[in-house]
Amino acid sequence: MKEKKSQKKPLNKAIQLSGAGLQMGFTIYVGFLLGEWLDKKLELSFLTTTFTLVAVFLATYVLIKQATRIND
Amino acid sequence: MKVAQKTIKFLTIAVIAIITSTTFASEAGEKGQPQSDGGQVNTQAEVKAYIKHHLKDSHDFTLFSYSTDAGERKHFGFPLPVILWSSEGLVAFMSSEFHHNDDGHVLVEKKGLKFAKIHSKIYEIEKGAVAVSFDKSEHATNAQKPLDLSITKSVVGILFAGFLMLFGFSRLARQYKSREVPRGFGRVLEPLVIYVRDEIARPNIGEKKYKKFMGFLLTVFFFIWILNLLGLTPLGFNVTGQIAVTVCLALFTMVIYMTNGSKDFWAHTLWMPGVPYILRPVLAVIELAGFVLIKPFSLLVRLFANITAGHFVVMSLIALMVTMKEAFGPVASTGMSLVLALFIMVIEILVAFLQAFIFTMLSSLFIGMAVEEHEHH
Repeated sequence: MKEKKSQKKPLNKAIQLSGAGLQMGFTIYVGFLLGEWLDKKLELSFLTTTFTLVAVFLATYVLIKQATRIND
Repeated sequence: MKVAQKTIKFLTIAVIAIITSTTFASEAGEKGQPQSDGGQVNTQAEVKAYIKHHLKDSHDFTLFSYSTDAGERKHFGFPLPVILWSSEGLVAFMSSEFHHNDDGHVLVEKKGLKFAKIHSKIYEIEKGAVAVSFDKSEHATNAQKPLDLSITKSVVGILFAGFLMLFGFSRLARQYKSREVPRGFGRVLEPLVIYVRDEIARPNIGEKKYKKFMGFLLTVFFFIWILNLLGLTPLGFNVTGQIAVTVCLALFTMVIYMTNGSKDFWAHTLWMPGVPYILRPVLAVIELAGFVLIKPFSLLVRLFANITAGHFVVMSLIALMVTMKEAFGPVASTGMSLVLALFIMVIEILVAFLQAFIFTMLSSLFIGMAVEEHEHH
């Protein structure tokens, strides 16, 4: 019984990441929206790209964080 | 013995699948758009309209319809009560008063107000108008929707599933007073209950806390499963394919794991340890959005999309016998649609279980994440 459980755990835990793609997409989209809004507000042009890129890195960071937490 | 059991099981499934798909077929082949031409489905456009109509909720049950020798269209089914909160207060009547009309040409007068049914939605027509007027895109211009509290087909389905569960499980529960092993249908239900407990709740939530959530998880599991299976019967239910239903189910899960969050969960979500301080508020926003929006969203969309797609595919395959008749002749097209529909129908039986399982599994996983307490702090 115990052996069975330890075999099952990794699969169960990995399901936590089933919404990971959505979460990344959401993060990046929010970053993009924020950048666009700030661009309009401050009359700049480079913030949309900057914020989107930062959001991409953030989303990746969060994903890696989640993955390492599952590994513990 | 085991082989015999397996054969019987297989035969049962096969028979159920054949019966349901052929009954569905007669429905798709003979009925169709109830709105205008009396419900025959002969063209690709009519097939599409029929499927679209089925995927939505409806105010009456139409099991099938046929043409008499005199050319008259007969509908077989039963009406359901329409309950509306209109500008004049509560209005109630039976949906049969619309006479299967679905394009707003039959008006029902109650309390001095006129009501019309357009594409399965009930509209209240402005005072003084005698008919619904449409704009170019077929939207009603002189009518608005009242608050619709009707007992629709999906509501009947939900009540029916609730009744079945109440009946089945209260009987199962009562049996434990007098005997160890339940008899009758309870013998089928017991392993399922234990399966949800031992395979879903215990490993995901943890030995200490799983008991508190068993009621919810079991209810959700059986509710979704029964309704998914009801959707495969010729009654034409499509309850778990209604996005309003899946939204509600996901909201329940969300409220449960948010209100049961442990101190560790909130600390982790709002002020993640082991991360540079400057990143923590940003991560808090992302994590919170994940728990409040994204996780429930992925739950509700997964169930809704799977069931909707399943119904769509089965009905499209059944409709092959109509759409391919010209190209392949009636025998080949019917045979093809039968074989393909049977194949997908068997898969849908699996999907019905799988989606209930995944919803319960993810719900318990999210609850487990929320109630988890870390020892290494």
